[in-house]
Amino acid sequence: MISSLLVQFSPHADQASVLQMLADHPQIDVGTQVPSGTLPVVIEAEHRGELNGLHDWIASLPGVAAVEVVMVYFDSQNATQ
Amino acid sequence: MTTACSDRRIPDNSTLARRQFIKASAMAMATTMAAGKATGALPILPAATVVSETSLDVVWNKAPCRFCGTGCHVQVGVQNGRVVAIAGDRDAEVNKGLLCVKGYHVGGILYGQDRLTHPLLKVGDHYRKITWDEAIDVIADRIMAAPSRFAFYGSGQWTIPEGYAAQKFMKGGLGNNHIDPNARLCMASAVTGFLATYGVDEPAGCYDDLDHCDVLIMWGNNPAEMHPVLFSRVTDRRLRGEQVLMIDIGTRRTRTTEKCQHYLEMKGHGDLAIANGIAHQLIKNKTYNRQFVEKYCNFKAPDDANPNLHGRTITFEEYQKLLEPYTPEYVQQVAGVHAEQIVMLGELFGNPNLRITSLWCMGMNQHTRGTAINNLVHGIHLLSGHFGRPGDAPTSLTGQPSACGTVREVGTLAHGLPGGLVVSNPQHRAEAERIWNLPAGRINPNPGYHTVLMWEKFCTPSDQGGDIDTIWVQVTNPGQSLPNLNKLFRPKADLKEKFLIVSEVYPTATTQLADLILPSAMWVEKNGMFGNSERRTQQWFKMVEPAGEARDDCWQTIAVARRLFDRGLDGMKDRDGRFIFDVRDQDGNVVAVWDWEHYYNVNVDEFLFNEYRAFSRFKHKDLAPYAEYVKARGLRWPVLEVDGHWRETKFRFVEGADPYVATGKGIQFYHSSTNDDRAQIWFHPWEPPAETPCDEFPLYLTTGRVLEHWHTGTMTRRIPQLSRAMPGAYLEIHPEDARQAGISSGDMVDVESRRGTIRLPAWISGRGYPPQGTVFVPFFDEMHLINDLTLDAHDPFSKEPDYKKSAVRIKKASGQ
Repeated sequence: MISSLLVQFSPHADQASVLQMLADHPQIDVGTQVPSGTLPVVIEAEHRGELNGLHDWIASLPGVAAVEVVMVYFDSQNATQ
Repeated sequence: MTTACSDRRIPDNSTLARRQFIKASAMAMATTMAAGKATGALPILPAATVVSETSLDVVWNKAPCRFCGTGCHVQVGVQNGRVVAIAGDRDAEVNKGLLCVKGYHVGGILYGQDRLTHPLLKVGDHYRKITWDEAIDVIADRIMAAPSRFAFYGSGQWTIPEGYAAQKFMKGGLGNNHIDPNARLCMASAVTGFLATYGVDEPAGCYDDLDHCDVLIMWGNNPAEMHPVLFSRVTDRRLRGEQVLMIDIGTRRTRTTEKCQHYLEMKGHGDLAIANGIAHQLIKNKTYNRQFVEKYCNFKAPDDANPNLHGRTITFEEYQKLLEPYTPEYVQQVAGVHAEQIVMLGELFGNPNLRITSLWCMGMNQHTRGTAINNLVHGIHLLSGHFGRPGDAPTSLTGQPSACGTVREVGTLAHGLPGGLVVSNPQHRAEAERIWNLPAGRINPNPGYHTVLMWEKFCTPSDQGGDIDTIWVQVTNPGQSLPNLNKLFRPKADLKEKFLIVSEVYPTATTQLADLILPSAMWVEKNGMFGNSERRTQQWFKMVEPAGEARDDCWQTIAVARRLFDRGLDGMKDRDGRFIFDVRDQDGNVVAVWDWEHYYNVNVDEFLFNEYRAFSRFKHKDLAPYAEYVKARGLRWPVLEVDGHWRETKFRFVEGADPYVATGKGIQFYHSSTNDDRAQIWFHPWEPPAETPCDEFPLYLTTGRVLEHWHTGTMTRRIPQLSRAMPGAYLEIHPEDARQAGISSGDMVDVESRRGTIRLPAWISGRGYPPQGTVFVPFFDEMHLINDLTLDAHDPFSKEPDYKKSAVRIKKASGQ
């Protein structure tokens, strides 16, 4: 499963640390941050549970105010899991 | 808002590349959204959020996407009478489960907060709610007062049955041919190009060509933004390691250019010289396909004394002579491209081992020499023999979901009848009258007014030759999309004798001048059928109820027809005195489909489509019975029954692929205008555009679309994610032109042509990159109507205006 997300930071977040944590994660691709502070990322997971877990992990990072799902791609192997 | 897509048919050997593509698409989509959040949104009322959480009580069904002419299929998830999810349809050949950023959000178009929900009649300076019954009476009154001064303005977004009903109502009922669609503004030149070349309309090839071509040439075409799913079919091949040479011929760099190995930046109308330059190279180097030409082609040149689509026949030697001036150096001079690039194109077309596909859309069609450039591109494919094999095809794309199905096939153009027949041909009229069971002579032999003329007549006082008094607009927004709005639309405001009826979904630039507004059902709020760019006819069923009192456009047409029938208008009766929409149930009983309460007692679409099918055989565009389309994700015509199965046709005119090609013929152009099974290779000279920059107006203005919005934006601007991503129109300008005018990005700029002025923010090095001397403005934004500036000059054959080449001047707005 592939999902693209928008990560919104809190006004005083330590964005550099969060960006580093996201970039280090093997299942996460980090996009280019726009001036508003919104960061596009793409995550890849084997099944829905893992996808939800990654989403929740990002949302729990210090300084992350919100995570918005843009798109979810699923195929037959994991669509029902 | 979350969207979902799926694909269960990923080939194992390309899984990695496929996933890389999906990840790249996902990132692009997220980045687009993020960029949109960075800018202030315009005051657009938001669409309701479409939730894609899949649960057991969500019912899924198929439908083609509502937007462009690609014809992607989506799966629509409905829960509690509401569209709650959209997914790419993995069983659809066109898109194989993928969608573009607009497609993923298509469900949101239904739920803008400002949906029109009641018929509204203008009384003085305000609108009064009226009943449908009153509204139908108002329309009937206008028609009865002057049937010949009534016009119907439709759309390539009409479903096939809607367009067919309007067509029959006008030409078979009123005997009035003043019906024309907005597709006149986008693909009429493709029609005349096909007719003049092959004797019959629409592409020979299909999207499969994109899977097989070695070279893809895009002529004034930006599919990366306008047909992204089709474009991804080619870029996806590259991700799998295939070699595809992509060439962009255009007047400004776009997102398509970024993926191309070659970019030919031409001056406006340079395409005419480029095509002639390629033909010149093929003949000079003796690399044209002599055998193909001798077996399958004739040569034609314009008949200047009697301009028409047949032209005058010329010999190969005359053709060769006419091309002599088009050396690479001359082409460089008039088209602005490098001479070596012409040599390169000549070598590509001269290589028989390559497979070459040409794509085009508005760039070639919105052109005062649109028919000519269409002819010329077909001509270089024929001359070089790059025709008739998968991947070897000249293919036009359409911008609307049913420009082909409803306009070109149903024939809702001012001169047309269904199935490629025309009103000026007595035999064609007789056939239509037979199928419609009309008295002989009912159909008027004179073509009606084409779009530009129709609106010009409407905007001219009745006592000064303006002989169109009432126009009924369905499924389109001419108040924004017509060229030269200050001439073709806005004068209506001061002409009290004129009456504008608009069937619409949302308030638009057109409804602002409407005298009667009718709320329409849209997309999956009604049954429908579309025909996409590759001859594929598609079907869907109604899934949710329309908003408020909104009703189907098709019902509206039938209801008005019935009101006229009840008032005794002879045209609404067939030769046996029966209503022209004589819909019957399975037991043969008349169903009162003109009464909304009974409209869905039967499937009116099925009734109309199966009647319309009879027309499809005249030009070998055979359609299958309605029930076959219910089962399929579309079928490409001609569709013939073989051994009990309905078989579609991928490639026309080719033995083995097209059932109408006789055995042993190889290739057979069986509708040849010269009646010898040959296509016509045309010569047309290069000519300058209708308007060119001068000292007073030193810049070219070109207009177009953007990825996030579909046409005039009435649907996509009500989807918050898309509206935020691309909130408003802008002036795209070259840095040097900006520097000379003292303009920085974000500055407000006054843009002025001979016809009007607007004020826009400048964007330097933005989405696209126009060359020095050219500016670009998209037309999706009703708050910045760029068509106040465009000119209404049009092609002499297709009558399609040129939106791409107006002369303008710019000035930094005062007070900054």
